[in-house]
Amino acid sequence: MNVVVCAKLVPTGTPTLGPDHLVVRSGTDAALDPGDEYGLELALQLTEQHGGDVTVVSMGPDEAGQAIQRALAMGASRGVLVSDPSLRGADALVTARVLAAAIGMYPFDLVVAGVESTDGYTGTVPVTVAEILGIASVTAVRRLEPSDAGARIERMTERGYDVYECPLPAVVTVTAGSVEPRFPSLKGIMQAKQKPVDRPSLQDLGSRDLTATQTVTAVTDAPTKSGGEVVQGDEAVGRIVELLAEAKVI
Amino acid sequence: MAGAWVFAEITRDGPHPAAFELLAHARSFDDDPTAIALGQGATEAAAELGAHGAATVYACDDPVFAEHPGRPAAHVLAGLIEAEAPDVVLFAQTYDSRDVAGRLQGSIGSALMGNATSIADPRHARAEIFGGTKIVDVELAGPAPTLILLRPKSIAAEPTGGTAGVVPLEAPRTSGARGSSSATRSRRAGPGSRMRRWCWRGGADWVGPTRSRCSTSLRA
Repeated sequence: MNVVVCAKLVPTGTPTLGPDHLVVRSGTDAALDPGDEYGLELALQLTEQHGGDVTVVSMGPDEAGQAIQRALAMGASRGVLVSDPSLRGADALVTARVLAAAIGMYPFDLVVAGVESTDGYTGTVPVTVAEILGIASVTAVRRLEPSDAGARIERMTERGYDVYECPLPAVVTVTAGSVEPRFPSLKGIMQAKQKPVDRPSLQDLGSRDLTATQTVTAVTDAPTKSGGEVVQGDEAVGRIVELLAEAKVI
Repeated sequence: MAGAWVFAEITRDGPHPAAFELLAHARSFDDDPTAIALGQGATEAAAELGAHGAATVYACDDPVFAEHPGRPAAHVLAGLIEAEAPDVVLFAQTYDSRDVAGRLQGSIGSALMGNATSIADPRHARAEIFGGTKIVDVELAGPAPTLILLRPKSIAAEPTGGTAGVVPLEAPRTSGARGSSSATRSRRAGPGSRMRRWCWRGGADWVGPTRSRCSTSLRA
């Protein structure tokens, strides 16, 4: 089973915004998105148990190579980095188009991603990739194992989980906590430097229509939250009910 | 007047509560928003959706929408959008709605914005970022409609006491649109802890409608 894992480099500290209102991704502390490590771990376990290779695909600035190196050190076989200045400010659709084109360059049975990035939280890119590739998708996966139909998948829901039979190839997103990501070993870190990292250009990918459809027009500080309210005494219950109603919890 | 649509998730208990919040958002710039309800119970849900401001409800009760995540609903929406040309489609920021919105975006190429907290009009929305410390105003371009996912609890649902006109929809007919190449739900489980308990006890406290299939699946 060949697996492609989508990886994203995300800021590790408080992100900063440039004058164009976009997150500054170059020259800042950043790391492989923790959410992606769960997908990577699942991919590594699948290939260790059933054979095949793990390829890690990322789109971002040159620094995104750090995320790929981390994934290679954990055990992935190959990295793919799509980096182009024109992609700065790419929205979900542009990202999905680029990732789908890059993924399509390699043989795969399964594409794995995190449920959502920890800096954007949109959570739709993997499914859009599946639509562009014309394959099945299951999101919020907590368990996946090969089956006669392709894969038996447990998908988290608001009530618990559902079970799906999914044909392959497919795109899945993996929930945090579904597996325990491994730490790279020293040997793995050393071996990672010898593993291939492809850098296809946008021309290589044949990607078209990469104009972002979102523009941030203004950024303002959110109102500072007050210090809170201590509720006590005989009127506490009524006041708590009022506060919960104000917060739209009840 | 902007043509605002709301994708109303249908659950076992009726419309997802977020659908009523989406209708409240939609009514801020469209007096007569439209709701799209897909799945078993959709037609019955139209009454509640109308009572929360939907003027029209497109409804289809076919079980295919629950059996296959995302694709059949996105297919139906894409067809409706081509025919009716709304300005914006609102979704809840839930797993199921994100599946539909993501598929739809890949299909029609519209702008999609996630985690919105308010909408000024179909092309302008607002979101909080960096743990709620910053507020960003976003302008959306590209072909109509825009697809905006709204964070739950960002607005209170407001019953209007209205009545919706119901427009029945045909279920997807082609095998691809019905999900022949999609994942198929083989079992709807209860809460995770409850399911585990049932597994250990051999079904003693599980009374769900898919008990036999669940049992078979677990043995397999």
